[in-house]
Amino acid sequence: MNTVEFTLVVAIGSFFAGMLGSLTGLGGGVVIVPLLTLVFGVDIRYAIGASLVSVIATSSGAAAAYLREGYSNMRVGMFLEVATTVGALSGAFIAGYVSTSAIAIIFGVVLLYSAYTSFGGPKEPEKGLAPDPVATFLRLDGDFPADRIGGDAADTGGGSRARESYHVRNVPAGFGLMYLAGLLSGLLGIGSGAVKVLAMDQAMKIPFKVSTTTSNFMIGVTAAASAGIYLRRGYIDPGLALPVMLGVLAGALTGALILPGAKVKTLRMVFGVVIAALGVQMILEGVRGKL
Amino acid sequence: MTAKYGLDLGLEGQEKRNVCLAGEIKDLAQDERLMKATDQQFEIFLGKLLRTGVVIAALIVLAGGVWFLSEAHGARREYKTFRGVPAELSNLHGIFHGAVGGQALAVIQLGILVLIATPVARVLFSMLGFGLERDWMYVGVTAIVLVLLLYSLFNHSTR
Repeated sequence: MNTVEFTLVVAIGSFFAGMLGSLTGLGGGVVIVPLLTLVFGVDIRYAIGASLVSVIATSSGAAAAYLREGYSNMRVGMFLEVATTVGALSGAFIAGYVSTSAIAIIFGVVLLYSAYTSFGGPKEPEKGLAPDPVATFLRLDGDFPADRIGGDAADTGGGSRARESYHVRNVPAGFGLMYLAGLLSGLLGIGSGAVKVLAMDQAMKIPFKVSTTTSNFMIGVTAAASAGIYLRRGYIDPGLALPVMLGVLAGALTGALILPGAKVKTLRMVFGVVIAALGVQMILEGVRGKL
Repeated sequence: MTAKYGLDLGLEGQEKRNVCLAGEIKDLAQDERLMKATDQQFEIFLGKLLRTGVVIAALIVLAGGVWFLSEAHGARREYKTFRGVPAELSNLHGIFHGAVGGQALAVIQLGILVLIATPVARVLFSMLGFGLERDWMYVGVTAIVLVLLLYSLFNHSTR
């Protein structure tokens, strides 16, 4: 393969990764690194750099659509970003000292966990909880546009609809889990959507729609925190970032366009199997010391 | 008669108070709605800012990429073994110089820098937004995030 062929093939692979990532809500970053390392034989450090760039692009690109709907909670997002950025900086820092085999094995475990969440599907947290003093002090409680009976497709936005309020719980546990999400993001060059969902839905009891949109909003900032360090370390190669960033971005946009007609449940199952297989492969290659 | 009058007056007063109270509640609700509306307008602005940043970054990367591919002859760059990107493509100064000097790869890196700067700009504008709402606690929280991001971008001792 010459440069042009290699760029095109990687761009096509990235396009499908981005499309599946946006259709299933798991993010494209989680398959970019296995795709580049296992299929194209790229060193995992270059793969992480390119993946990080694509994560910033898709998170920021999707935010415009999410923010207009009025689901995301700016205060929850900003407060937890303190934890994820500190986590991302620590992750990027320790990545310089951890062997690539160890990184591959950790990556494999995260892939298996993501696959597991894509089968189970997140449970909607219970409603009508009492306010939590820490959350009240930090003014984290919020509301979001309630589901409309009959589901009017032509909606002008959240502002005109009835809003349903919620209380945020277990702030310290959520904050700690967010540090872990940031750490994994900085170490592996991914968005860590699965861990963020664990922190916000399961620990902090934030409604599903609010946590998904707020976490998407946060991913770009988390990734930008480690991207600066990776750029200086020489992990972000322009020749590789070019097809990965543009391919994932185009794929994510296409995914968002065809989402209304897509069979998301089936797709999540298929994607889950793919991710699980990649996870096993990453662990094996990591143990063999090939990555 | 007088008693009735008095009762009337009392009722009137009560009614007036009720009306007054209702008016205040309505005002409060309107204030909250207004704040919600500005909140949401601000969020829409932030969303547009992010999208604009991504579009500009993607266009710069695309332009640099087309240029890079049109010049790409000979052996392909090799990614199997990690050597690290050359210094002039991995620091701000080198990237700006290279892009101005017409190096295709430096132009791609410049687009990636714009992409990295986009969430940073969002955090900066969020801080201004919290400041306009006089929410000093969150101005502080946002400032912490901003300092961490700038530290990551500009501190050259972290390698």
